[in-house]
Amino acid sequence: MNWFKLAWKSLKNRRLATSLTVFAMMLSLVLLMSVERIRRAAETGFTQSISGVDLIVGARSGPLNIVLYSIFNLGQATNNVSIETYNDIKSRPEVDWTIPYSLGDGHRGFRVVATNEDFFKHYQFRSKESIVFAEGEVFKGYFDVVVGADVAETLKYKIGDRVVIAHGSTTGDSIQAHDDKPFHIVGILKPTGTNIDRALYISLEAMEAIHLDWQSGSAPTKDKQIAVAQIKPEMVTPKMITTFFLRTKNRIDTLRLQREINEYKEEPLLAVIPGVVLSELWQSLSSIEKILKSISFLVMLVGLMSMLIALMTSLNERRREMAILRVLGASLKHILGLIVLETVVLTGIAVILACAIKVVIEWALGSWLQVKFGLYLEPPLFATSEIIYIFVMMGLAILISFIPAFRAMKSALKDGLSLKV
Amino acid sequence: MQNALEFKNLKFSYGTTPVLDLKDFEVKSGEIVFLFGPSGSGKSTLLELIAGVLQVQSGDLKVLGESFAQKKSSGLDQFRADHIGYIFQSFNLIPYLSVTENLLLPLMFSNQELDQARFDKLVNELGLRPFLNRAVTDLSVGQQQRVAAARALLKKPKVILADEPTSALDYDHREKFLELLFHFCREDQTTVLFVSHDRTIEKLFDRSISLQALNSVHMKTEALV
Repeated sequence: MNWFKLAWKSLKNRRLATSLTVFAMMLSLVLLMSVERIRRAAETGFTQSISGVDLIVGARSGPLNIVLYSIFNLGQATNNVSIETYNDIKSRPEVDWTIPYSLGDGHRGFRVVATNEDFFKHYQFRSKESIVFAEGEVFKGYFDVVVGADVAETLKYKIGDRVVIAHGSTTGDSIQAHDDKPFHIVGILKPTGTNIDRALYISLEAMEAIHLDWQSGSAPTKDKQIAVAQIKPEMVTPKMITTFFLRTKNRIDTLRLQREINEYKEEPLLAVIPGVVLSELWQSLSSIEKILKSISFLVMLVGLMSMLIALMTSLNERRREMAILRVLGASLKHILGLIVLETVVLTGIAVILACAIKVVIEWALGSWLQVKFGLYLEPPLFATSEIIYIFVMMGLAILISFIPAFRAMKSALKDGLSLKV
Repeated sequence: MQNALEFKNLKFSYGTTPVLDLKDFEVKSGEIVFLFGPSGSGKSTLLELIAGVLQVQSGDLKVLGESFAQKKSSGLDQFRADHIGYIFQSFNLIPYLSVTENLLLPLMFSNQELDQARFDKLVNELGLRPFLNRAVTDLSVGQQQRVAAARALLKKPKVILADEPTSALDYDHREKFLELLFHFCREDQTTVLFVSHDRTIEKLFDRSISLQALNSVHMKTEALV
């Protein structure tokens, strides 16, 4: 017989109250850790939507605007960047690579990004993860389209399916459609948990081609339409892009290049460092995070209170037990220690169960969360903050257990051995 | 032979209510003493003082030659764990532990190792062998009291304090239980102080004393109860 076994058997004897208490504490810890995990995933998903890009360049507007429309498909560009300017900056010696984006069209709620093969080669998200094809390959012909994982999942698309691009809307339905020039799906991307999944990718030339016969933003009349067969390569050379991502060969050049682009003579441009803007943006959203955290802490408090109540109510029926232990030589300190030990066992079980449930939930729901909500559960499984929560919970539980422990000690002293049952 | 218990002007009161005032009283080592008195006469208080659960307030109490007046409560707890066996009126056992676990429970508090030969002897002679792994709640009251006696005897205590352990038993079982208990106590030279209000078993003891005769505090028992 040892103390641990005694505490365990005593808890087992009150198994209903014990399991309810463990359940409440476990639930609060699972909730606390889940909120933290989702917060962490949301933050990574947000701030690391793009990585390895030193500058995002677009027509002059606000830094936030450029980041929002280029990465998150929120809002619109105020103006375009001419292809001459793009080529000029691209050919600078300090530039490693660029990814051009031409935006503005959509397909059933998803945006269409016109880009080139550099996108598939260089785009990175999170810590240096590249874009991978689930099926198919990069677009080759004018009317080839590659779709993101979310698009394929939501619209049940497969290779070879026909896609009509809507004009002028990147979020909802559009009145006008490029239905004279349908696309065919040649590739489907693997889920990334970022906004990459929520877009369709065509070539810059295709973007030109579908707008070839358009006049000042409106669809051509039947007689003015240019058929697919009539398109020649020189007709679809890109003239404009919306924005482009840029990587320098050497990080030291970034700030200088940013300044030079911002002072670019031929065209008003703005270059922003995405990491800085993204963290600022995330900071501004942190009040939600704080509310979530406070709710979780309140839940933890409820869990601890339920433990306190369970221990307090059990004390009265355990007075005889305490008297027996006293008679056998238990000191008041032993009684105190026993109650605290019971709490440690109780909390320990709750913590182990909570961790197990957390791991199982993450394992079971990880891919679903990624596909449905774009939340990528990044390792480590237990972040420092979660480990801190566990210890805070255990610490508080032990601290709180001194209330019933002292009470048990006091009543043991008062009752002595002659407690009448 | 030295005295197992010695009282000198031992006074005890709960708050302002005096309960005990014992001038001189001694119990010799190995003596089996019956102490009777009506309920509320301070029997349990006296046992709790000897057990060291209550602390001496005035006068002195010596158990096995050691003065309790100077001892701290932790010292008293240790002394109780090492030298004193205690049997309650009823509900002696921890309900969620098996018979064996209850029997071995005292070893958690004293420094003694389990004496397996003594364990076997007690279990066999008290007829507990068939129940060892049973839940104590399955046992009859008589069986439970035998487990309690075995538990008190296991560590070979110098003193056994018994607070009406037979009151829940019928007369036949009462005598049998006491004979068994005393058999072990005589073999080990254990001193027994047995308190009860029931004088029908008086004849089984070496000495029988009325607590009221010893105690100078004469309480109006009716008023207290």
